[in-house]
Amino acid sequence: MKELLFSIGVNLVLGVLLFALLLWKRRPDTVRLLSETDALAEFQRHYPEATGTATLSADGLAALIETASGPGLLVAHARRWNARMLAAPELTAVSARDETSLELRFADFGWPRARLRFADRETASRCRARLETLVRSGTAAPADLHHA
Amino acid sequence: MPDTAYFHATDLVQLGLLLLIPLEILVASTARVRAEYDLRDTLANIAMSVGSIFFWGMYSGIFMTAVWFAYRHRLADVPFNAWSFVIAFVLEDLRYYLWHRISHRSRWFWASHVIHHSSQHFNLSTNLRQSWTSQFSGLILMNVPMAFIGFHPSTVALAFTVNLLYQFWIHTETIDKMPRWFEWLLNTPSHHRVHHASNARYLDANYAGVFMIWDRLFGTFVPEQIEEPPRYGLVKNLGTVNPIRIALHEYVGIARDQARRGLSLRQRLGYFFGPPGWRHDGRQTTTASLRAAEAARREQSGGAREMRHA
Repeated sequence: MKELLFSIGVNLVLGVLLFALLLWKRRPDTVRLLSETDALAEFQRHYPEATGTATLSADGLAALIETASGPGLLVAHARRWNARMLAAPELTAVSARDETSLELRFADFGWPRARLRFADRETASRCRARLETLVRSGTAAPADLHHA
Repeated sequence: MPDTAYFHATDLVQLGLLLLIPLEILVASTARVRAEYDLRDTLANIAMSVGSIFFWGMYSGIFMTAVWFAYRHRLADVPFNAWSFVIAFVLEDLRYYLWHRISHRSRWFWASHVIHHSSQHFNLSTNLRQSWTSQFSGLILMNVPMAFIGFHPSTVALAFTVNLLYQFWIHTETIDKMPRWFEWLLNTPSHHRVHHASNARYLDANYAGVFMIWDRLFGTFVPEQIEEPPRYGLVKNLGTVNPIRIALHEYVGIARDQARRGLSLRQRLGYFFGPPGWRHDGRQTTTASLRAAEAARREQSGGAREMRHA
């Protein structure tokens, strides 16, 4: 019993210490896209052959990349970036959360959704229209862009 | 049979090792050494650890029954002493190498082990991100032969625990390289950074637990290159910190692939036991295909550079 209490106590102290340290260390703005060039460069780390234009989210935590092979997505995850080419059937739905925000749903248990908040209504509705076309068309993922 | 004092000692060592996590955060905060933590990522690591302990507790009985059964039908009686423990430890390390290699090369076993590789960060807390299904995959039975040889199940368990405890300190970016002899013989942070990297060059390498000799012997050793820093995580990274999704995502992937219509038996087996990233339609992301694509890219950029020079 003593050993159990000792273990619980030590782990509790450690947990609190760890949590406090993490809160203290937390710097939420360490990964942010500052420009289209930033977004493209980051996307190319995942898809080295990709070229195109980027539409940044208002908070700099995501971007839609329009490549010659179709649209791609770049999203901050922890302090890293995740990227994927967007195509049906992996992209299952696009919905508006409000006037400037979109929610993308994927048929991927390990990455089920992504949220993007744009600077204005026009950009959000343009991106939504583009992605909805993609979902409706049922076009399969492009085969000519290879993941790094 | 080893005395229970040995196991109490490993418990204390375990607690001491846990203290290294906040220490690493503190030291890294001074910016003198490299270590990146993210709150959500670390909390996910802790959640995976809690789940792993829970499921280990729930299912370890099945595994221990198999080990005890083998021990009852043992070939010889191996007494517990310093020498027999050294032999047990080396055998356990070889078992770990084989287990680890299979866990990376076949999707069914990868579905369990992928959890440990699913963080895009690499720090001491990455240790805690452990599988919930290690008992379920079947590979845990690889411990049985040692008991069948004649090592007491407690000796097997002690060697297993010491091996895992050694591997705690190698999950760090704060240590660059150890002395050359050490790097040659033993697993180090540098070797293990390579193992956790998703760069094509580094995939499926450095499986060793403690002794690096297994990788050198079986041709899976890849040194860390300064010009190519490791990118940690998976080829196709997760976009979630939900522990249930982390624990089960590859199993769901297998189930979805099995649900495809019109596959032959061979193709179904490929999705089950083939290398991770294998696909029947040729659009593979296996280590071999990623390395081939990377080599083609390098050749192309090399050719373009030569043309510019000419």
